[in-house]
Amino acid sequence: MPEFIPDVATVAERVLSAARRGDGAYVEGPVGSGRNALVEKLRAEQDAVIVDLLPLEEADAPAVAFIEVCGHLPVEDRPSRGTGAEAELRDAAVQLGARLRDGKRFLVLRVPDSWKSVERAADVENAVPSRAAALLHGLFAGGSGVVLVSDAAITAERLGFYPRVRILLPAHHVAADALRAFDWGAYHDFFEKVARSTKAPREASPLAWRLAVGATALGHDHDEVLVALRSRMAIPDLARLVCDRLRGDQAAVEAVARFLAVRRPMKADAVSSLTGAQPELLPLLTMCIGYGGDTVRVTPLVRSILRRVLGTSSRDLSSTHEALAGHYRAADGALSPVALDSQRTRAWCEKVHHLGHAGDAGAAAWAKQELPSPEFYWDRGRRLSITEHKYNAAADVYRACAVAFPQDDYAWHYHAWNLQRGRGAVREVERAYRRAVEIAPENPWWNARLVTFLAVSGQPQESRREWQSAVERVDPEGTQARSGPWLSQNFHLQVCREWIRSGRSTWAQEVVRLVPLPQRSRGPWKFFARRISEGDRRLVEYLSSLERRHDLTGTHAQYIHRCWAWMKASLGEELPLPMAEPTADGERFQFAWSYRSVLVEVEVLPTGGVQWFAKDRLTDAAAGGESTIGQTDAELIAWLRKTVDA
Amino acid sequence: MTRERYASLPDDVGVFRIARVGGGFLPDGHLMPKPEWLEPTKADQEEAKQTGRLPGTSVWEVPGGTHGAACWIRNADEQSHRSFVAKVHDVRTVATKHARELAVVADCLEHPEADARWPSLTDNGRELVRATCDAHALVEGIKRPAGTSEVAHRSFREEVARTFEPMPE
Repeated sequence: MPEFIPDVATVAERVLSAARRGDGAYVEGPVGSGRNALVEKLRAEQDAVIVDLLPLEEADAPAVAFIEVCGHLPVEDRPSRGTGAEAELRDAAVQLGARLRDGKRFLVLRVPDSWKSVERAADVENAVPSRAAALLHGLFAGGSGVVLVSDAAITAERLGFYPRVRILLPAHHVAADALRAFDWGAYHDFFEKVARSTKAPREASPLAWRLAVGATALGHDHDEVLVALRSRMAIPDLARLVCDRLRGDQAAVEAVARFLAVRRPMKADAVSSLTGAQPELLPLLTMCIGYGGDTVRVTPLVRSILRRVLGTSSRDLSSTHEALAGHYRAADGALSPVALDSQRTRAWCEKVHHLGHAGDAGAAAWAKQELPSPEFYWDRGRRLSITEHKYNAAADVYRACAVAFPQDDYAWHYHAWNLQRGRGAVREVERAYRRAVEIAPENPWWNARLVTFLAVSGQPQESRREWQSAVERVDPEGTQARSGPWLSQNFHLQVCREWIRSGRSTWAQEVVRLVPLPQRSRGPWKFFARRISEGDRRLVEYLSSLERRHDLTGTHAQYIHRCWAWMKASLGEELPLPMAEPTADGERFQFAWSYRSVLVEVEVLPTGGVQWFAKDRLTDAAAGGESTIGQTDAELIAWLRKTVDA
Repeated sequence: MTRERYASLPDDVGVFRIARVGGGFLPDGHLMPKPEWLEPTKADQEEAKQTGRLPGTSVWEVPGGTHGAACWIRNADEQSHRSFVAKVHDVRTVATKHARELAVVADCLEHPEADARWPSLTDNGRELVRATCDAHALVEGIKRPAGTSEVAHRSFREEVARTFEPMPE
């Protein structure tokens, strides 16, 4: 069907010629412009190593790409497993490129649009784009010819890629007739309805036609479908229309979710059993969302929109993943990818991914795999943490990763974060955060998390000390903060917020001062400034509601108010906000400061008397006494001062 | 496992205590649990008068009880309550150090099958609630005995509190 598939022969010639000289070639084009056709043409060349990169939403995408390239090399030429450091990944990728060069081979990377995020890899907490950038930098530096076939406008130079050949494929639009010969099955009439409509465009991208047929079959308003089909953003618009109609049909959404769980092209005859889709829905999957005849594939753009709009990634697809793991296990038959060829390597990667997402059913088999790269752990860790909210299980996965790859700061950090969320051992959380900071001292998120963790775990002074060191590590001259709002939003803001919550307004004010003035007048900083200026307003409001809340007498409530005002006046704004509530027997009212280094309890009796207790938790020295409100009690004031410096 | 009422719990099990977080003014940054949260409530003291035993602080044995089921039994909102867990051995060690008479004993609750909310529970939910009722226990002896100074008592209570840690989810 020559009128359907763009003629890419000339493009292929130019690209091949550049790649075989060891040069770079960059090809970019919209959906339907012939990128697939080009890659398929190159695949036929003996000296081409083709890697279809997974979208970067997949945590294992860089690792899969790396070991797929390895799969094309003799076993003795493959780099050994490292410690998880990013620099190592880059060096290993340079080695891979050099081996390809030496073997007179060239690399073709099919790049989904999500890989555009590697351009701003340093600005996101997610380490996956950063790993992807390291991989690409390395591969480009290796010296082999490289062909980048990209779905999005990537600024190649930002990745250290300077192609000699640049080709922008034009959009390839066809008339609806070009798709008539396909077996539309139950969707035949819907295809005809779209194709024969007088309001339909004369030509559109093949994928747009397909999605229009799908939206029509699902019962979407026909005129709206045609408007979308004519729009400049036809594919995203039509994909959204498909989602709109699907959302009302849970069984269909489940089937689509299962279909999208398959990351690689799949056999068309397996779609029904794998997705459990009713026969009337199958054409939607194989002809509209997916395409390709015997082997069905889904364009990354469509996959990404559907997953996002339908929320498919948060669904429980454990049984689908289990089935897929079984399918790929049969294809690779190994615990380690080290000695596998490229086909079996890909199967192994898919097996590991699906085992990692198969819930309890996949856990034991997943744990047996010999994982050559941290991303495989991240893939499972994220699933457990983000989707299943099993924080302790996720913490275990990240810990295993950190043990296997001790230089992986991301794993150390998320081991700590998940353990914290799962209320795991405080010491272990702190140790892991500190390790992450040690490995990547300039990382603003790791630093902010360490500082805020110390604050919430009763170590305020340690938190403050760590903040001062963190500023030195991250932005000692304030250059980055002055250059734009990014750092203050991702670093200063987190610490400021936590210190306000912890009743340390004066410290929060110090953080605010590090933020350049123009930034302070915007967004959350304005809110923080108000919260800081409010001081103890929230506590005072609470104390004003005691009679209503706790069945205390008005006189008792007045004593409590006066007691707080007296302590505040004695210690000033530095006095942190205490916990405040009636005692268990309901007879007294307690202000308490409980930190790792000191505990101070001040109780107000209904008679107006004050009883206090304090303990230095580091030395076990304790003291206590009785007093009346307003009476100068030097010993109590000295203990209260310890809470300021706790 | 159902234990005989007031049977001493073995050293190697844990007990958790539910605390209401949000009943008063509780800013971030403080080490939890507050020692005060371990004191028996007025109701606990009333019950002790009837049984003739020392007032007991309500706790739940782990393994056996769960935070969610304990909140259900107490008709407490799961989200606004937090549980803290300690090893029985550690609690007893503190008591010995302070020469305090302290017992951690079983106090299984009746299964609340007559509760109006019972029919709405799933089979699994009912099983959890039954198991958690069976896991109910008391820590007797935390209330300050006559003759013990306030400072000594609170010092003891503070150390007991430190044996408790936030209960893992």
